Order: sequence, then structure tokens, then C-alpha cells
Amino acid sequence: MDLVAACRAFVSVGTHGSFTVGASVARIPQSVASRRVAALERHLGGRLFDRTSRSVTLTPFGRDMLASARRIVDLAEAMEHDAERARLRPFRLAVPAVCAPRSLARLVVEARRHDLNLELRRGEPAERARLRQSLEVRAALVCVPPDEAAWRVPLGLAGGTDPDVDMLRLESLRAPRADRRARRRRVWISPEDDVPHVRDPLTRLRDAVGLQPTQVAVAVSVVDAAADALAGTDLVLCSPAEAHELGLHWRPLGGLRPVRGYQVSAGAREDAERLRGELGAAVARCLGVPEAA
Amino acid sequence: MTVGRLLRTARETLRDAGLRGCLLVRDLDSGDELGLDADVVLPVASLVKVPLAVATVDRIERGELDGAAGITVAPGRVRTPGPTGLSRFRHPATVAIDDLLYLSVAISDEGASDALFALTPPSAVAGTLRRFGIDGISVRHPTRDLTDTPAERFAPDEVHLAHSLAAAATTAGQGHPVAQLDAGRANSGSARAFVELLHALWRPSRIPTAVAGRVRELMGDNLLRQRLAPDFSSDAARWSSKTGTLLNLRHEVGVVEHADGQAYAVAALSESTVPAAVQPQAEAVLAQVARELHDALRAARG
Repeated sequence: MDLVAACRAFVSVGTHGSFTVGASVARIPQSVASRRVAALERHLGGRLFDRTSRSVTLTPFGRDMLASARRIVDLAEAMEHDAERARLRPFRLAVPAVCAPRSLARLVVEARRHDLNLELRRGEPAERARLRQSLEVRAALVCVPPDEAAWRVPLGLAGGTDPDVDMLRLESLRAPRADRRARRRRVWISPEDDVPHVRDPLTRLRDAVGLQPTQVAVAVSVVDAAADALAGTDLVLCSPAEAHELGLHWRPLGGLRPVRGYQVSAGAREDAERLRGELGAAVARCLGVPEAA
Repeated sequence: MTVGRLLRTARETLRDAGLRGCLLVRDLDSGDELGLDADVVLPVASLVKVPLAVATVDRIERGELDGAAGITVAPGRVRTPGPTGLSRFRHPATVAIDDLLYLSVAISDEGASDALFALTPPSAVAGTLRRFGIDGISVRHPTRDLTDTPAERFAPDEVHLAHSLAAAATTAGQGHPVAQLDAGRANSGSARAFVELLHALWRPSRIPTAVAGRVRELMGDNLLRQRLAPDFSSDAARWSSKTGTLLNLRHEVGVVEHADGQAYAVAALSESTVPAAVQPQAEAVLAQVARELHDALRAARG
């Protein structure tokens, strides 16, 4: 027996002194109201109403039960209200600053469809780790080496002009000996990639092919990096999606396959699984994971 | 360009190339100088072969040694990149002292240098420098120690690890866990000390004329010309020098003699923060900065 539904019918009929009115106020058919009251009477082991042809009156047992039944109905309503509020409480998630606003908006919409009220905080890797540590967010998308990642984004080099080749090699940035004072072309690493597993192999390759230390450097922001690429001959380390967004020409990097790896860091395993599971595809779009992968 | 601006730009250029440079250029006739951190003492690597040559030639001139006497040198059998000449020989060779001098200075042959150090030990070379009034160059050990660094212990594809260690482990006051890079334990000196030595070799000094002349000739025959030589030699200028290279250290000291008679001593000592063994760009930048200091000094002279 549904105790709460039965109590609701009992309280409604008892208050209005009529099965017809009571049922209509409780928005159930009269037959259902009768059935529920009868079930409750069986459950409690006593008659709640004296039914005559003209009216319905509470028995002394029914009067004793009415206050308790009302408390059950009120409590159930309070619980439903609380549940609704808890469902609407925002789920704060720290996401990479490089995610495009459009794809983030689509993620929020998708999450609402799954009854998840996402509130996104964009930040660079260190900032996201900090937010997660200080519990200012419930979960964060953090940078991890590709083999531990739930999402992988291949990186390459993007420049302002079409390079006319299929692949860009770092050594092509090496200044010839005869070229003395010209500004050396640079590769900018955006703050998102200022993590050891992306940055260090690239700087190691820079040293190995004989570029100057300044020729592969971390940019203040991806915007600064893109500006140098658009205005001059510099290149930006980024994903194909980012390059598209910035209006740059993207090419894979020769001799090295840098990959951004992302994983969810969350206090509750269930939160992490939701983001990886039902929202996984939308998160992938935000991070710029290529469609085919 | 003002001198202050010139030096600032030079420092920036060096930093962009990952270098800390200690340079001094001196007009050998007016004594005018221009330099950057010229008094910082660094390990000098193969630059020590210049004082060694001075001491050895001096002993030959004084009759203590016979330049024609053959010395049998055990083969070095070194296989790692860098060392030259007798260090790489696979069989014993007998070479005259005069020719060991040539190998030691012209191709920076460690085997030849150590054969000479066996005749004139480091302490005797240091004594000779003192006698000639050259201060600031410490000669503490023979050169075979230069070919026993961490770089020799890593596999060829891991040499950058040795260079990371070399570049990153400097302790306060130019100390270093690698003995050859510790200015307090290695053969060491400053850019200024080497300019003093070059000045004494190229202009009349307490070094006997015959000794100075022979050492100048040996330095003129230097075959390692990839570092400063491209920026200093021409048909109108003669470049005589000695290089020194060890892990992240790249040095060269020399004299450029112009056709018009002006001569400049150049000492360029550098340490790199870039963990790579082969760095032609760094060499080019060091030369460029040395040349700019030289040009500024020569322009002032008119």
C-alpha cells in the first residue's frame, strides 16, 4: 500500500466531509479515493469514516488518526520540495580556459537534459587544480598524461598562413647562419599546455634540433600567442579545433605527437562517472577531441 | 649606440641564446676595454693549453727540454665525440715535443697535452705564469680529467642528461658537484685573466720574445674555427686563438690583428643553460656579441 497516497486521500476526504469533494481537491477519481481509504482502514485495523447515504463523518478512531495522517502528508510534501531544490543546486565544474564558449553552452544544455545543473568555471591547469583542492568546485577537468586520460586531444602547430606542407618540423624554425639579426620564429605554448608531459618533450626537441631557448616558450595567454601567429610568422601549439576557432592553419608536428590528456577529478566517484558517461560526448566536444577519435 | 645600451643588448642577445657570457675585448695598444662580467672566474677547459704551451716553450728556450726529443704516447682510444688526435689513436705513437705542442694547441689534443703535462706538471705551469706576472689563471690538473665527465658515462642518446646536470647544478660562488665545472677545483680563470695573458704574448712583456712569438704562431695555427673565427677572420684580419669546450662551457680566447696594425685581445667565456651537446646557434651568438664589443671599441679608436 502507498501509505502517503492513502493518507493524502484520507486527509482530503476527512477535511471536506465528502468523497466527491475530497477526491476532486486531491485530483483523483472518487473510486480511487474510496479504494485508498479502504486500504488504509485495513492497514490500520479500524474504520475511519461512518458512511451514510447523505454524508461521510469521521469515526472517533478516524479523528484520532487524522492529525498523524496530516503530518505524514506535510512531511512528504516537504521532502519532495527539498528533493527538487537539491536537484537544482548547481554542480560546479572547472573546465579548461581554452574551451570555446559555444561548446560549453551546449554541454550545459545537455547536462540539464540529464537533470544536472552545471555551473562552469573556466581556468588554466593550475587554477583548476586549486579550485578542486579548495572544494570550490565539485569536479574539475584536469591535465594528465595521455595514457591515464579519458579524453585525448592531439596537438600540432598552427600559423597565420597556409604552410603548403602536410607536416611542420620544429627544425625548420632554425635560423640559418647567414641570417643574423632577423627575429627568430617562435612556437608558443599556451598556458593550458604548460604541463610537463606536453611542454618538456617539446623543449627537449627544441634543444636537440638547435633552436634558441626563446624559440619555444610559454605564452601569457592563447590570445597573445594567436596574435603573434596572425601578425607574423610565429606558430601556436594547439588542437585542430582551437586552430579553427582562431582562424589559423593547423598542421601536425613532425617527429613528436604531443597529446593533451584530460581526466575528471571529483570528490565522488559517481560525479566522475556521470561526466565520463552520459556527458562524455559533450565534454569531448568542449575539449576539442577530434570527431573520428 | 651608447656603451650602456650596447652592453644591455649584448646581455639580452646572450640570454635569448641560453648563454651566460663573460667577455672582455681590449685594444692592445690603447688599453681600452669593453666587457661583460669580465672578472667572473669559470673553469677554463682546454684554454689551459695556452699556459701549458707558454711553460713548455719557455723550458725549450731555456734548454731544459729538447723540442726535437721524441715522446712515446700511449693511445687514448677515446670513442666519445670531442677529443681529437692522440686521444683517439689506437696505437702508440712517438712524437717530438715541438709537434706535441702543435697538436695540443692547434687541435686541442688531450693526449698531446697530457704528455706535455707529464714533463711540466700543473704546479710548474702555474709557477711559470707567476714568474711572468700573469695572475688569475689557476692550473690544477692535467687535461685527461676533462674527458672523464658525466657526459662520457651516458649513452649517446642520453648526453642531454649530462648537460642538464651541468647547466642546473651550479652552487653558490661558481661551485659545482662535477669537479671539472667547479671553479674552485678545476683549471679556472676569468676573461680578464686571459686577456692579460694574450696582452703579454702579443706586446712586449716579461715573457721572452722568442717564447711569445712561438706561442703566437701556435695559436695562429688553431684549426678549431667554428666559434669566434667566422666573425673575426678575413683577408684583412688575422685571428689566432684557442678554444675550450666542456659540457655546457664554450670558450674562446684570441687576438685579431688587423691589416692596419691595430690588434685586439678577445676573451669570450660562456656557460649554457640549454641541455644540448651541439649548439651552433649559441656559438654564433657568442661570436656575434664578441664582434659587437670589438666593433664598438674599434669605432671609438677611429
